[in-house]
Amino acid sequence: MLRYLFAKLFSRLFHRQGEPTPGRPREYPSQGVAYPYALAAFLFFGIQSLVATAGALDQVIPDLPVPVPFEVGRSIHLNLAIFWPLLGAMGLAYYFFVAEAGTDLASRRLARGQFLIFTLILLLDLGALSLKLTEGREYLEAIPPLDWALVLASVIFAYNLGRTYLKHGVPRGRPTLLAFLLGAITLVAFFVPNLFFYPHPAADEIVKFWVVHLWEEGSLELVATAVLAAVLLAVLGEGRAAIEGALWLELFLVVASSILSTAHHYYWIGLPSYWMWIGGVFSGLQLVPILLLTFSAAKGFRRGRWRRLDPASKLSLAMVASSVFYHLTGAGLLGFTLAIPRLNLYAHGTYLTSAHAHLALFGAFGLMILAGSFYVLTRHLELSRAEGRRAWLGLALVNLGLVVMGGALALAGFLQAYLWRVVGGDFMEVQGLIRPYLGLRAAGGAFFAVGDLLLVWAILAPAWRQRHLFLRELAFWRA
Amino acid sequence: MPRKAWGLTVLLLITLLVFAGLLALSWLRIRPATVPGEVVAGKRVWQKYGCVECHTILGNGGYVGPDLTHVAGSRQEKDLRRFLTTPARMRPHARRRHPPVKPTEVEALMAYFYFLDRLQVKGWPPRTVLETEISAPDPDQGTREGDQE
Ligand code: HEC
Ligand code: HEM
Ligand code: HEM
Ligand SMILES: [Fe+2]
Repeated sequence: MLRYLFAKLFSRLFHRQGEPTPGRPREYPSQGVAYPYALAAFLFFGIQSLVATAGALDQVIPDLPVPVPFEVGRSIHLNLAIFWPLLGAMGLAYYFFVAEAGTDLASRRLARGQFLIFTLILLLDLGALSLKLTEGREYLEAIPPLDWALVLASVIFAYNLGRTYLKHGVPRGRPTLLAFLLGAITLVAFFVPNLFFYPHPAADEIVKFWVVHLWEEGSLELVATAVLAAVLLAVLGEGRAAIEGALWLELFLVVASSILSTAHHYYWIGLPSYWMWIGGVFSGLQLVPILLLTFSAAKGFRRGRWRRLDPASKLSLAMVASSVFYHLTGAGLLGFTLAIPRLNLYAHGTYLTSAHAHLALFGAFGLMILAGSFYVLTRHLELSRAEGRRAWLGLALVNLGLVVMGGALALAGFLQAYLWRVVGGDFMEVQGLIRPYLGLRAAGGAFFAVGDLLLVWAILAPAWRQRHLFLRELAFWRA
Repeated sequence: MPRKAWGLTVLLLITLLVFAGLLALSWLRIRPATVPGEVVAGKRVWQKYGCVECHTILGNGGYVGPDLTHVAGSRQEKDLRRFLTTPARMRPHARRRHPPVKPTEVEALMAYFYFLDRLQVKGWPPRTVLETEISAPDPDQGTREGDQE
């Protein structure tokens, strides 16, 4: 049913006749390094959802005997929320960087080694957090040795892309390449200050948002924008000139707005008031590249030869479309509303933030990573019909669950802001009053989790059948 | 590299520079190096237990328990100490208890809470309707807490 609606919607968007089938873009051997990254992104996403569902239920059912205490579960949830999209983004950056550069990676060995380091970090992090070994900083719960290892992994990443960029004959003027490269370098730059302990709580918050904001809305926004452009180029065979023109504009605007809009996290943490002006203005400016991105995606879709696409490409594009939708609504519009200082005064520290966090970090960003990863994986994996159906159903449930989850959190947050912040009710009593909405959120979360497990299954099953593909790509000692 | 690529890189450097300048101003204002040792020890205790997963401080953190930015100013000191060391039942649970801290760590934690309470946070959290009705308007923007008894 939903699939039918989707198909209907897309045939509207993409209907165009008499155009040649887009040929499958050429594959370079080193693009294979991206498969394990893409697969691991799906896998860790699945783990995150399982832990999250337990946490959400624990919030609404008192004394529920959940196997992990809430604080442990949340630390795992938040760490994974930052890390799996990053892991996926790195794989996609490798894949599309090579495609756009028209040459193989400088070193495949490094890219594989980096993957092994990163997955090891994630596994050790899961273990450490389960043992309550935490750094105790929100989103940055991983303990220092793992942070250092992460720096190593991201330096390898930036170095490898940089070396490839400098190879002979690479079209260095391509905006996609530059976006990946700047994204990779700034990833390291913004993370390194977070290796240290800050004695002052305000200083700690300042630096924390160099990851929570500057990574997500800066570095990774550059990467995600470039991935979108590269997917449109690869899947739809859209005219390069048009896509590159729009991409340049988007990149300039992202750079111009994203750094200074970090200010929207600096309103109430004990800093001077100039951050409020800066936060308001530059968060407004952040909307412009998002509108442009929506527009150019819509244009790309309309021009695409939808009917001729293979089923897997269609699915990837449906994920891209979902991501663009949440980018506009959950990240852009809701984010901007929260960034208005007068409103943020009441919304700050309520479930409204949580609504935005889920719609943006998963809806806009996570889904784009999954879309790209799905596309990359299905270049070689043969999905059976049943697996294809399962994936469509999964995507539909993910969308349904996310909308319910985001809506319920926004309602809970609105009531919380009103009853607690405006009226002045007791926090715990208000918490009791909004429990039904948190229950609804848990229900949405459950749909979401079932959906994403279907999606993960649709990828893992064929991946297992064709595991030699991945095992080959993991042998980092081979050239 | 072609012109546009340079342009983008330069724009990035300029915004980073402006950002760094503004941050330097803020940094001078909060003077992170002057935090007393006891407070720093308290912050370490806070991080060790991962209290931020359930509580917000300065509005950032988890939403299971109340914001603790101004807890020191809104509770009796002895009540707070007792709460931290002898685990109380944690609403809304009937059996589960609040995580306790060691008696040796309470002093530092209290110092941290007092430090937080004194931060100038621009009138956050906002003054609520109930507060305005119960007490006369208070021009000083010191300790205010939305969830007082
Ligand atoms: C599992 C979630 C959780 C964790 C972890 C947690 N708390 Fe709490 N905390 C709560 C809840 C819920 C309440 C409210 C209990 C009530 O009012 O019945 C609370 C209340 C408090 C209060 C009293 C607030 C007031 O206004 O009366 C203080 C102080 C406090 N916690 C400190 C801490 C410290 C320090 C830590 C870390 C060692 C911590 N909490 C860890 C959930 C948590
Ligand atoms: C894809 C892009 C985005 C992602 C991944 C993202 C992610 C997040 C996350 C995870 C948080 C929660 C931080 C916390 O827990 O303290 C957050 C908060 C916030 N975001 Fe975004 N965001 C995005 C885009 C935007 C945009 C475009 C705006 C504004 C125009 C915005 C404005 C805000 C504001 C104001 C807050 C703070 C809310 C509060 O007071 O706690 N975000 N964002
Ligand atoms: C099965 C689906 C999910 C469920 C049930 C769920 C549940 C939760 C819960 C219970 C919290 C604790 C605080 C709160 O109540 O908001 C939380 C916080 C958070 N989750 Fe999820 N989550 C899910 C999926 C995701 C995904 C896929 C991401 C991103 C990749 C994500 C990112 C976050 C972030 C950034 C926060 C912190 C929000 C804040 O502090 O404002 N979640 N989630
Ligand atoms: Fe932000």
